[in-house]
Amino acid sequence: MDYQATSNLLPLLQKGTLETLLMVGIAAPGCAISGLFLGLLLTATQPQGVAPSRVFYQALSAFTNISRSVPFLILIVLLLPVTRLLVGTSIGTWAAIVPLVLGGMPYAARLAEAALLEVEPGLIQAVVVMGASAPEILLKVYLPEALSGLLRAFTVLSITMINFSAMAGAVGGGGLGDLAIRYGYQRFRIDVLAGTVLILIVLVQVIQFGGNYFAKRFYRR
Amino acid sequence: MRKATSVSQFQVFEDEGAETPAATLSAPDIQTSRPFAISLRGLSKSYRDGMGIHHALDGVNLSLEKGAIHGILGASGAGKTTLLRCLLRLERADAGEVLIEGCNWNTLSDMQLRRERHRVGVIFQHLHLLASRTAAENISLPLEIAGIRKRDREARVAELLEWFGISDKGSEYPAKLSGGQRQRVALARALATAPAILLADEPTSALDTETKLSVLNVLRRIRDEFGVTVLIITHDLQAAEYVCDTLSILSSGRIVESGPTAEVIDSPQTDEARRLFAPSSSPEERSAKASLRGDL
Repeated sequence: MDYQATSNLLPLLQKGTLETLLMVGIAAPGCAISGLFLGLLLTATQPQGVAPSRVFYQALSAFTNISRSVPFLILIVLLLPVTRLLVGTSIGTWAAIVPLVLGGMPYAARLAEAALLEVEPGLIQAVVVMGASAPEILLKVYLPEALSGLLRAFTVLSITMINFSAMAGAVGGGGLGDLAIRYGYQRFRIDVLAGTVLILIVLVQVIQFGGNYFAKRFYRR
Repeated sequence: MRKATSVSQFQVFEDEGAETPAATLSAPDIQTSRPFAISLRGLSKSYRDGMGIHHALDGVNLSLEKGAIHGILGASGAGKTTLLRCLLRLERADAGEVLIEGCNWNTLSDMQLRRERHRVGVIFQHLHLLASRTAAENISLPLEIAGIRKRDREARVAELLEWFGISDKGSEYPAKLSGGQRQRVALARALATAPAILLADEPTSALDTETKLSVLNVLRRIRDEFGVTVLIITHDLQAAEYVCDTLSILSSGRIVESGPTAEVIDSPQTDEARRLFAPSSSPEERSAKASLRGDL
C-alpha cells in the first residue's frame, strides 16, 4: 500500500491492477455463491414458488431491499466492526473485500432471482406432477434451466464489483479506483488517470466478452 | 360437410368389437370389485374475481373405468384447466374428492402425494421439456425423482426411446428435435415410471391433421400395449371422437353428459352438448351428419 516507494507509471498501474483483481476475484464469486443461495430461497418461497412462505419471503425481501438502499461508501463504514471481526483489521485490501461481499450479496440475490424466474412456470408444474420435492426442483430444474441467464447475471455482477472496488480506497484497500483518485486527481498525474481508465475499460470488455461466450454456450432454447 | 367426412374417416380406424367401457355421471358404486381409475365426487372450486364469485367447478361427478381412453370435452372457459389442476392436486378443490386408482388424493400428506404422483403420467399441451436436458435425460427425470438406480434408469430410457422409434435422438437437445419427435419424448417421459394413468392436456391443439392423427394413434397404442388408462382433456371434438371410448361433456364447471363416445355425440341430451357439437349447423345438418356416419 506504500505508494511513496515508487511513482513510476507502470509499477503503480501493476500494483493497482493486482489489488483490483484480488478484490473482484474474491468478492465476485463470494457474492455469486451467497447471492445464488439467497436467490434460490427467494424464488422458492415467493407466493407462486415451490415452497411458498409469506413470512420468510417478505423478511428476506425486506433484508435485501434495506441493505441495497445503503450507499456502498456508508456500508463500508457501518461494516467496520464486522470487518475487524472477520479479518482482524479494518484497513487494507482484505478489509475492503468484506464490505464488497456483504454489500454485493443482496444485489446478487436479486440478479439471481430475476434469472431464475425466467424459467417457465409450466415447466415447474410439469416437474411437480412427477412428484419432485422443492429441493429437487431447485437443483434439477431451476438451476440448469436458468444457467445461461445466471451466467449473464454473474457478468453484470463482476462488472459492478469493479465499480464498487473503486471505493475501497476509503479503507486503504488500494486498487485502480484508489490509484486514479490519489495520483490522477490529487497529484495531477494525467498519465496515471488515463492508464487506470484504459485498464478498467479492457477489464470490463474482457469480463463481458467471457460472460457472453459462456452464456451463449449454455443457452439451449 | 367436409368436417363430417373427415370425422367419419376417423371412425373407420376405430377398434372393432371392443366393449365400450363405462364413464358414468353418478358417484361410483362401492360394491364394484375393481375400483375406477379416476373418480371425482362433487368436485367444486370457485374463484373470486372482479365480477364476484366464479364457480370454475360446480360439483363434478365422474367415474372413469380402467383401461379405456376417456375424453373430457369442453369449450374454453368450461373449467378444463381448473379440473386438470384440481385432479392433479396442483390446486386444492374447495369441496369434493379425487380418487386415483382408489386412493383419495385429498387426504395424502405432501410426501405420500409425491410418491403417488408416479402413478399418473401427464403430457401437457406445451410439452414442457427441459431445454437443458437431452431427450434421454428428459425421459430419465421422473425416474431420478422416483429414486431409481442409474443402471435401471438407463435401461428403461433405452426401452422407451426404442418403443417410440427415436433411439437415435436420445442425445439430442429438444431444440434440435422436430415437433413430432418432441411430442414422443414428452410421451415417453410421461410413461417413464410406468404409470397406471396417462393424462393428456390438449394433446392435439396446434398440430396439423397428420401429426394429430399420429399422436392419437400413439395414444391408442399406449393404451393397448401398456394397459394404461388414458384421460384426454380437450376442446377438439374431432380428436375426441376419433380416439375416445367414452366422452364426458364439461360445461360451466359441470359434467352435463357422459357415456360411450358414439352415443354422446349421436344423441346429445343437453343443449350444452348440442351447442358444442354443432355450433354453426342446423339440426337437419346434424341428423344428415349422423346418418352419413351410420352408413359407413
